[in-house]
Amino acid sequence: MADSNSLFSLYEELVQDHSSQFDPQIASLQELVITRMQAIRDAEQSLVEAQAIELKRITDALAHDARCLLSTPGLRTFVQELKQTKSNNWYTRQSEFSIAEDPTTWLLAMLKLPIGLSNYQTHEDLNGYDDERNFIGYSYTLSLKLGSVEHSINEIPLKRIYNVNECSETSIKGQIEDYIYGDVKYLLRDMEYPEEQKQQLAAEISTLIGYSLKIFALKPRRAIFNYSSIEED
Amino acid sequence: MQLYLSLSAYGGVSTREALTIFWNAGIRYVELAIGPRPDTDSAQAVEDFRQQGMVYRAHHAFVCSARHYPFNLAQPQDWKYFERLADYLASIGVTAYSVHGGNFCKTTERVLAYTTFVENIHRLHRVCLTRGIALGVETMYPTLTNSTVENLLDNASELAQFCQDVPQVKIVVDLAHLNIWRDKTEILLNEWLGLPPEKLLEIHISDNDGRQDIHSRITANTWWLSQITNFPKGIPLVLESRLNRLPVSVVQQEYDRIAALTFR
Repeated sequence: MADSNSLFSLYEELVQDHSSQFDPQIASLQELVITRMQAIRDAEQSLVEAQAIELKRITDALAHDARCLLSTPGLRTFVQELKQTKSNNWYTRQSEFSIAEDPTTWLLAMLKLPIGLSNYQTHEDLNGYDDERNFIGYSYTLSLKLGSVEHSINEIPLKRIYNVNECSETSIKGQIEDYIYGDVKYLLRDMEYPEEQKQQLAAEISTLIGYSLKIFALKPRRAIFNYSSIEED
Repeated sequence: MQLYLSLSAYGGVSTREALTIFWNAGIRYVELAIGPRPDTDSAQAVEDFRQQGMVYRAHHAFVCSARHYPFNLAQPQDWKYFERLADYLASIGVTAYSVHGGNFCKTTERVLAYTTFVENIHRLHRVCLTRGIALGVETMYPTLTNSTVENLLDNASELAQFCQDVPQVKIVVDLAHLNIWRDKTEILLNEWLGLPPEKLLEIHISDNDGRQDIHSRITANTWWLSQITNFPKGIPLVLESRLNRLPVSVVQQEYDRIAALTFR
């Protein structure tokens, strides 16, 4: 039997050679990247801050009246995509949930009912559970102001991780139709609109909230240097 | 009418922490359930409070060790597990244990899942019976259409069939689950609550939005509240509204509030 010294020695010598030839080059490359990234960080700072100010202005506008989104092309596209997505309609939802493709024609645009959206927060629950299983849950909450009355929208689940092999995510359509819609309908129950209008308003407001989530999730764009030599293997 | 508080009402903490909150809130009737973090102290905590006078029932995949063991009775089972579980329940004086109707993947046949479920319930009933434990099966609810699974016993006709197929097993009526039934009416409610008392194991109560089982708190608008005077006498109620992270005083207020509603 070959002794372990002779079995490994040649390989270890090659590793050592490689290390002494290339480690210094990699270290210097890393240093270069750090220095260059710091220079880029300094240079981008004013643009990042300006973006943050603009995002604050946008979220302030949503808190004041999110109907300012009704005329944006982004919402129109979102509605079109939503209508094309295969419906996961809950059993009574089919006839209830319908919205016009052009948000500028929505009932919401005609009424004097400001819709304030604010306090968007994401949550992580390491000890989540349903009736049968434990999970790690990700969710969000936000505040909805209808006219002058402010309400909290119940926690909307985004993702549940049951184990390494199994997780479930709530699609944006699912978030709107299965969670937000019911909550909004409940909040509208005491308002003085005919029942049919309340249903229509609930669908429109829920869709508006669904779209606003994309906006609340916006962060200032920053320069990111992604490189991993491992990816090349 | 005894009012039990489910451990699922106070999840995310250890069994000992949840039982301490309940004990300090003056609660002496507890249903073991999912909710607390599984840990090695769970069984000892249950035993310590039992010795002080806590009385337990148990529900489905309740937490009793460092590892949680979820199960679906529409699939073949490890019966050694259920024998150990029933031995444990008997050792802590539990005489009532209830399980969920099984669930099945929508791509498989309901009738096959139902057949397996009924066979399992027959066997589980025998396991429980030999240890002096009454077994109950809980009414379930329709899942959302985007869910990949469906629950057995999520409608009145299947539940009626089940009562015929397994007459020796009791029923747990979950009023929050019935709120999600497609054919929910007060007449139906009275029909199920009008089962012979010996057929009912317990009644689970909480509220939801009629779509999903979110275990919200019972309010003046809760659909079955007007029928509460018709609830069968002597059948324990189990409160399952989520009270996670709330202080002892609020847990006590909520328990006392519901107790007052049910005892009036």
